Amino acid sequence: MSTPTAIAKPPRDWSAWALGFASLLIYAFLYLPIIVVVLYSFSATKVNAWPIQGYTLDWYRELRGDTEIRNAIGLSVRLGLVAALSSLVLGTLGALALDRYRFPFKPGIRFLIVLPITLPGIVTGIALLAFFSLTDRPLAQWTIQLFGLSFPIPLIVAHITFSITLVLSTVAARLFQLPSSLGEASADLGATPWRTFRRVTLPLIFPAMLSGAILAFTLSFDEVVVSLFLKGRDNTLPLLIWGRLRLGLSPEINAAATVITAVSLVGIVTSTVLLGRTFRSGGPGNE
Amino acid sequence: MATTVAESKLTDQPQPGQMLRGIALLAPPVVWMLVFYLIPLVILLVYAFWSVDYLTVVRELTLENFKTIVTNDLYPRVILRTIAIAAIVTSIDIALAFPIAYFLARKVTKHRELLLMLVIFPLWSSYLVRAFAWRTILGTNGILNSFLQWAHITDQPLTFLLFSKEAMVLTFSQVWLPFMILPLYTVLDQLPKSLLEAAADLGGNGWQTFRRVVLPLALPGVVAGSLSVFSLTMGDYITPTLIGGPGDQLIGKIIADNFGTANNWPLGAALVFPLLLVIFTMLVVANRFGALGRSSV
Amino acid sequence: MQSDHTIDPFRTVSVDELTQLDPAEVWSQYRSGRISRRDLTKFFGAIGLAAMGSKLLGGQALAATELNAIVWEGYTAEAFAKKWEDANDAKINSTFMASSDDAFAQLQAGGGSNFDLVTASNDLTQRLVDAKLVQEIDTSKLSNFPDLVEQFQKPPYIYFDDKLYGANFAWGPTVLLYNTETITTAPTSWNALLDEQYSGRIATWNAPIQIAQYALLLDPRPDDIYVLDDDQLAGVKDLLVKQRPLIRAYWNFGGELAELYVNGEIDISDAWPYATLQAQEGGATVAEVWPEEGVTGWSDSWMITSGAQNVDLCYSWIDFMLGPDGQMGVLEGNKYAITNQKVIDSLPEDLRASLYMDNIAEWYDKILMWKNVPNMDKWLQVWQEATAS
Repeated sequence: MSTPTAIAKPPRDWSAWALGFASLLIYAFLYLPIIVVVLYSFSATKVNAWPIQGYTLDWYRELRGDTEIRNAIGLSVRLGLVAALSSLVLGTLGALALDRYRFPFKPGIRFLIVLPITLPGIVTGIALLAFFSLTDRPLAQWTIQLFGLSFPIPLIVAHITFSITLVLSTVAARLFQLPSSLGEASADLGATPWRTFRRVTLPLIFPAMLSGAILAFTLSFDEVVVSLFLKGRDNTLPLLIWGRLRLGLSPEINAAATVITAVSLVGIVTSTVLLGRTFRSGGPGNE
Repeated sequence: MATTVAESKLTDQPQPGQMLRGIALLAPPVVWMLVFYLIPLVILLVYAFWSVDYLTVVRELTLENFKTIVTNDLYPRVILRTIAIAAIVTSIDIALAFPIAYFLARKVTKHRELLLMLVIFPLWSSYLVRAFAWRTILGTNGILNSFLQWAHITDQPLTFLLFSKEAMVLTFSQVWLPFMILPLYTVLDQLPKSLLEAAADLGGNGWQTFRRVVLPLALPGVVAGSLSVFSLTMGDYITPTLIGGPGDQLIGKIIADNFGTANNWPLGAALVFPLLLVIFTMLVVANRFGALGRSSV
Repeated sequence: MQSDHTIDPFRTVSVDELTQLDPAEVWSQYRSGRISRRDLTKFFGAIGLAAMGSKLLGGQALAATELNAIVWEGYTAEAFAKKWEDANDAKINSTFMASSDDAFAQLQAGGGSNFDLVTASNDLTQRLVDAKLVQEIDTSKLSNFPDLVEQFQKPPYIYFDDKLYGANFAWGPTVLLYNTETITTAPTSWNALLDEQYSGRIATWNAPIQIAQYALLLDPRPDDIYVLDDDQLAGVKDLLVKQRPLIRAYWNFGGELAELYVNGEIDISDAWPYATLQAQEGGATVAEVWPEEGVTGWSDSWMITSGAQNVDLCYSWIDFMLGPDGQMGVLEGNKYAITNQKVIDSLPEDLRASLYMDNIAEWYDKILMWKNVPNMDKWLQVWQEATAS
């Protein structure tokens, strides 16, 4: 059954079409604002107005010379990657432990571990601000320089913290679905826990881990509220935009968003075409 | 089937060394959360029992802040409004995410990863930029109103399209939708095909199969997604400020302004308590649906 | 496991010393085979732990030629800051504040030493002074200071106990703005923002400091609109509650306000002159009025923090910002009124008039400049009750 046909058997044919159509509409809903953002990046007037008065490439030219935006994008990407990778490890460990093992205070731990994303971001931001304020070292100086790049610790800590929850809840949902008999069968056959994990569990939960990490990157890349309270000297992209809003949303920001969108689109298309089956796994679903 | 899976989980027997291994796995994330979340949170919550005098925090025990929250109807009102909006957004996102997640997970075979990524990456163009794009779409002379009038569906611009609860809900639904689609996709992707076929063979029609088989098994995904969407909505104050109508503020803004504008950390901290209560209730419910792992301890 | 020439920084060296190692150097040592892979792993593991309080953290590593400023966006724009940076072989790093209060929180968290400079608006200045987060300014170090308009040399919001704490470099009134096409007779009073005939076409700035503006409408008018008693606050609240159903939107940023006019969402609002210019540029037909009750006004000053690490460089920057290049930069980039009379004199007539720099003495008299509101927590509560309840 590894090569199912594109559309299921004739009796259920209509549902595939209906679902496909609904999905198309939902894609349109998701992309509507993006199209507007792209359009306005070419708008000749500084203030967004409908209909668009004229078209220009000036904003892209301005963007090219804008080191502030470039630095901010760099920091946001770094932050997103660090948060996604760290939380991938921490969140998966947590999900496995909560799913597979028994220990005291489990409900309490479970509660604690999902708190960062369930409490409003503002609370995380302020709480960590209060925490870092306990030390004498000012927030702006909590920045590590590695290989000529800056890594603001408070932002990294905050982003990892809410990202753990995202990864954990996605992976936990997947683990919950798996019959634990799988692991037992493997253990009965004499496999070590590590081997069981690598050969049985990991392939099954890998898609969930990946989607958790992608969500974590996404949330981190676009996060404003938590970051507002923890920013040091360097601006992330959303913080830079937030700061610039005071003077109005220049189409230059639209141009930056367009470039990011275009670059990531190209990246996504090539990587998925090259890597292929990232989200698929040989789980029971395909047997 | 669902019950047998659950039952088999209940038969898990603790084995020697099991607990230790569990604790070893759990230690890194839990230590992280203790140090970087629980301790900071407790520090913050302690403020709730203090008061503020101009620029200094008066560190004497008082329940004044809680009295303010309970007696001034501003706060209960805003909290209820926030919960209602978050619940509506979550329901809409469940309804929108299901068809697309099901389609991608069960009906599509080619380029499925690509299609899935296409769900997420609208989020990589800044949230703030998108919020402003919605203003252009929904405005009195905006894209949607122009279209409606061009198509002679309306002859006057609809003003409720922007600066209203409806606009806020719409924007939130778009912004957080991928956070529902992804967890849902991961669980739907893994439904045993044999199960669906069995259900069909037993004469179940599409809807019955969906309701009796797919839905219960997809529930952990729904709960995981709902947790994210509900909370992200509850904590946000940018969309309410930019898109919502006059008076549609959510609790995030009220808290933020107390910490910021008023420099009133004690009241801001006290306002976190009712939220903790809401979240706690929600998690207890979510727990029963297994979003956070097996509920058997 | 350790061969003779392998360095082993992990067991014999204290954490503090460890963190003085440059990761890049360790990496190259690893590449050349001088340290083992296991040690490399340990090193990078140790970085994580040692990060707490280590010397890897920025702080001391700062070059003596760098300034760190927390500013409103636009006050350190590359377009003009570059000139100063090149001339002084220095660099100014800026963090943008989200609000006055955000800046206060940031500075307070750092005890005034996390930034060298802050651009404080006049609702923030006194708080910074009271909290001892900023230091006195020595005007003899500012060659451009004597050129400042007299009113902006020692204004009350930065001058306390015969001490000057800031260099005032930009300002503007909050005026009444309206669409001249739909509102043909110019309104004369702030009451227009409560007028039912404009229902659904009104906007007002979403900030509790605006309570002062609405206090101008109270009868009797308070002696000091920034110091209100409970009755007066209740009076303003009544006005705001009455106003809310008439409001189309509460605006948050000046640029956002311009967009509201350009897209025909609103006809009347309070506004800042730079938003007016933006709206006009976008094709909106709007005009400003100074209501008969008077107007409130903002004003931004450069302040040096109490913990500033390079005070001389701070003065150099401030002097630059008070001089022609800095002043023109602020004016051109932000469309804010400036304070250096010589620079103002060099401006074209219409620009001077549109930003009220043509006869500052007269305009200044009509502005009730913001100042610190000591019970801002109460103001916020009133504002929230009226606008969000």
